[in-house]
Amino acid sequence: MNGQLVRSILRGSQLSVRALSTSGPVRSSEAALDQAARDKIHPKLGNRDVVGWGFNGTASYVDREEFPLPAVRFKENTPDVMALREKEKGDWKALTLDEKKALYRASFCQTFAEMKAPTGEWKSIVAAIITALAVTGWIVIYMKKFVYSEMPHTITRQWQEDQLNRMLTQNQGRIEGISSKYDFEKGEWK
Amino acid sequence: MSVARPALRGFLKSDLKRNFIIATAVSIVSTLAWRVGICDDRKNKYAEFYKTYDAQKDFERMKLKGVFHSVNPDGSVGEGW
Repeated sequence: MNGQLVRSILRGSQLSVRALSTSGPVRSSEAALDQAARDKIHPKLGNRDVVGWGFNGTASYVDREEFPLPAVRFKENTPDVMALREKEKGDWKALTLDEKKALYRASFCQTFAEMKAPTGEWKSIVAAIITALAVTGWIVIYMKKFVYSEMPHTITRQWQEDQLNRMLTQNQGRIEGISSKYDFEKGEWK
Repeated sequence: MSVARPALRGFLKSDLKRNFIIATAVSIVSTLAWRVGICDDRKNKYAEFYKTYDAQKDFERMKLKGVFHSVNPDGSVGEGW
């Protein structure tokens, strides 16, 4: 397990981009198997080459920015692709741009630009949050109107004013508190 | 182009020394600040207040407003006392 990890990391560090593949399947033991055995071991693999160890050692294909080299090629080996592979063994300047693109797409599903493209998911997240807040707001209105009992009488303005007057009359907080802010001779706040 | 050899050891010790000095300084400063800004300030306010405080006058004022149970605004003894 550790060995696989080390080998994957080494491969990843050597090739920071997905280069055109210049060699055949890396797991030579896998290439030696016939199709029936491959179907048994890797049921979904089909005709595709296994080209490495992948990010967790299984023969899987995932487009991942931080691990650019999947374990298997993306598409099956058709005769056109095999012809291009033969041509690829020669000088790469001989390949046209379309052939290079075809080779890339045979091995990989998305380019890095496509992989990293923004999905716009943030919009749906923000929409969900705002909807949740709106629903909560309606619940608050309902609670206030139908569920909560009356406020106590001590919360009315008149009671609060009377309370303040009483505190001043009794000279509460005369040194550092509220009565210290009130001028008793003039009868108004300082 | 040669650079002086960096320190490779003794970081905990140097950190402790530094933190100890900073902690002592901050403690002393904050204590003094509290003592002067809050404690002494409050004491002065109390002293100032009681210099000019006439307790009897204050009592008369309160009595007239009618906050007491034991004495009525006109001076008579309250109910039940």
